[in-house]
Amino acid sequence: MMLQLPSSRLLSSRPVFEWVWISCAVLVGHALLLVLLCQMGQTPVAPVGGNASTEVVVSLIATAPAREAAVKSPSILSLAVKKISTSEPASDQGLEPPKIEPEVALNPDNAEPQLSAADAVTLDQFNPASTGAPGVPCDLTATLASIFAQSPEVRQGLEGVPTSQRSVANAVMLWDGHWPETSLSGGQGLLRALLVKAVGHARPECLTQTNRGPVLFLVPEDQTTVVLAIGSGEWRWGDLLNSPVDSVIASRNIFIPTASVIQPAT
Amino acid sequence: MNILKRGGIAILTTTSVISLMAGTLPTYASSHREAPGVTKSPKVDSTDFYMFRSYEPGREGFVTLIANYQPLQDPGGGPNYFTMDPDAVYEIHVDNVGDAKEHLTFQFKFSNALANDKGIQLNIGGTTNSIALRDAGMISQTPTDPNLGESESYTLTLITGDRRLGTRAAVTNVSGGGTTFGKPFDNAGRKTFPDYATYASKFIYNVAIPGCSTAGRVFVGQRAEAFAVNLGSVFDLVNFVPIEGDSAPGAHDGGGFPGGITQSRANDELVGKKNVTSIALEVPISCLVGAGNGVIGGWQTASLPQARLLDPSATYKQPSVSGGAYVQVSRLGMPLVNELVIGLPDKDKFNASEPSGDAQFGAYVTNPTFPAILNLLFKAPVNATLHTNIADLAPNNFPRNDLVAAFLTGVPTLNQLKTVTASEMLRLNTGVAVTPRATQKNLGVAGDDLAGYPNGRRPGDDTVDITLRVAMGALCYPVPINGTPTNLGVCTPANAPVGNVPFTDGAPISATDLQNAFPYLNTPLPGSPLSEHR
Repeated sequence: MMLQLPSSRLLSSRPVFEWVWISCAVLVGHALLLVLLCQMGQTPVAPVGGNASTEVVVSLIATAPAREAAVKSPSILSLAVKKISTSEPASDQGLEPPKIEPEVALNPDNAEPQLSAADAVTLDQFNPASTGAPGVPCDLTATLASIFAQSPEVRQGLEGVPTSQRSVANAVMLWDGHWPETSLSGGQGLLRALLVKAVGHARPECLTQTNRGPVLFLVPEDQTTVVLAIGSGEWRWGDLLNSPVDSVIASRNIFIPTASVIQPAT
Repeated sequence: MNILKRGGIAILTTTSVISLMAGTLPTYASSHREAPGVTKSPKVDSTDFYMFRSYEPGREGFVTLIANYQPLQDPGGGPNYFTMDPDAVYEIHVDNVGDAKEHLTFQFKFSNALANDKGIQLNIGGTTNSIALRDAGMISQTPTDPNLGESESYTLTLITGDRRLGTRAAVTNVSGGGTTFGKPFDNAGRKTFPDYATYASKFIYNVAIPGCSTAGRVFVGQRAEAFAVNLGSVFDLVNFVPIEGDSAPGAHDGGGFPGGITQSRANDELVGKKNVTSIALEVPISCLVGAGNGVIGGWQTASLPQARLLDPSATYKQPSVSGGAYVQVSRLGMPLVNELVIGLPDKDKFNASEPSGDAQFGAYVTNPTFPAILNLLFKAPVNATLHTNIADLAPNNFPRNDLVAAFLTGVPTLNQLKTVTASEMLRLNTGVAVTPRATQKNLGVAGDDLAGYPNGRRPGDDTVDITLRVAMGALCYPVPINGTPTNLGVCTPANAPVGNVPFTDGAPISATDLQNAFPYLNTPLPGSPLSEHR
């Protein structure tokens, strides 16, 4: 399509000198356009989409590849992470206790889960995969995630975890540095025993790998998925092999405290 | 008119075209009018992006993606209301690999048409004239309604690979195989639409998605705003005390922070007052995840041709001439990033950029300015109110690895893609179970609901409150998982003096405020009577 600009309509029935003046003005304008295009100095790009009538316009004004409009020599974003010694015992790396601390008492007996006879059989049938030969790098988190996602024994354990022991998004906190009291029996008891057995099968060097924050395992269950959460702060898989039991876990939303918790940092 | 003036007009005309083109070339411009450039192009202004496992009963095997455009729509904005830009492409991108590049793109292209090329016509004293309005009577049918003089339609294309160079295939209507879909006329009011909800529902299509054995659904049309925000007061130097004033949201007991704002719809600038245009798509999970780990990253964009020339002999079909490669002018993944995180000089650059180039914006996340602004505004009153001596309300862990995890990389084993490339997009673990609407927590993950923001984003997630708290260091404190306070290990309470404070803008939203079925956002507010949106 040819554009009908206002200037072209003015060209009829005008004195010659007026034509010359207007033509010069148009030329000046186009000269400015040419300078602009030269300054851009990039190869026009082919049109994408649109219709054929726009291609003439494109050849005049498309001066820069669209995809390059914002690309500016990207550099690798450095995510500085504080290095943590793996030789130190598990700790919260200087984490201060939260202002609202659930009332927790530790069971001095470090009680083992009391499994039913059926669950004991299930535990016996559970044969977690090997974590590989000594010296081969191990990713115990990935290995355990795979084991838990596929194990029928784990699914059997989940069947014994009532809704009241799950979050609205079907998450179960299995171990946060302590075993919950609910892990002393029932489905959580079996899950705990299965986890301990799986971790116990791992090579010793795999047990000292440092984890930061919770690890979440997704386990299919009927038409949905259960999230098994394990860990809190800085921890190692080996930590859960000899871990105490909480006798009371206060379940509350610690994210929305009242204003009274605001205290100076020092 | 003398010749000098006429010559001047000629120069002006030509140079205006140049200026127009020059202005269009780096068409940077996107959330609600958050960048200077995009304020010039409201039709392509991205406002909110949602991505979540469908919680409509029976649809748990799907992911719903909603890309909103055109902010601050006054329901009474007739007679033309809010059509989409026919020159633009509107796109939803999905990265299922983790390289910060799109591997699936759903591209929407719109067009408008007058009935019989004339719209509705009337015979006035023997002369047939087109009417000045888009409609001339009650509307109840789909685009063929005889009282509707202008219809709007769109095509939907699935692009596999690069959005411009990848393989293109049309998404088709399961019923009849057509490739064109209708968009409902905006909600002009109760007289035009006695039952707008039923009318709009006719524009929900079951669609065949190439390469996907199960049908999806698509809807494009006006919806009621669901982004709850105390907009005017926030940008008036936070002209309220942004801490919960009740002991718990909605408690109405004044037992929270002294003088703090309390939850009320009256604090909201958008919900219940404005509309927006939604592109909503529901896709089977299996068709989105590819060969990845079940986590997908998503974001929306809008792009315009590089140039637009105003045509002095404009017609309905061609009011202007556009050409050139498409230039992205709007981008949105996580809410409020360009609004509150990216610096003013770079907002339009961000809108024109792609996630793969986000390293250039990294410092805005690792060393954010927004918490420092809140410190400037509120340190003195907070200390005075509480008789404390907090030196700085803003967190001091730099780089802010807590924000990097939330906004740029995802949280390991929650919503981190198989390959980790620091980039800004919304990340959803499609393996996490759906939380039914009735039990959703509007603080998402921070509220002990792993199916919520920032693991994707649902319409009922109160992202303003979440963002305020996360910015001030909430992730430095334990968050609840199944009721158990859990340390995320990214920073400590010592880093965030007020990270455990319930910051809020006082504008609440929750899933029960919204509908429980696709497209989830509510029926748009009617243009009349005024009482329904004032």
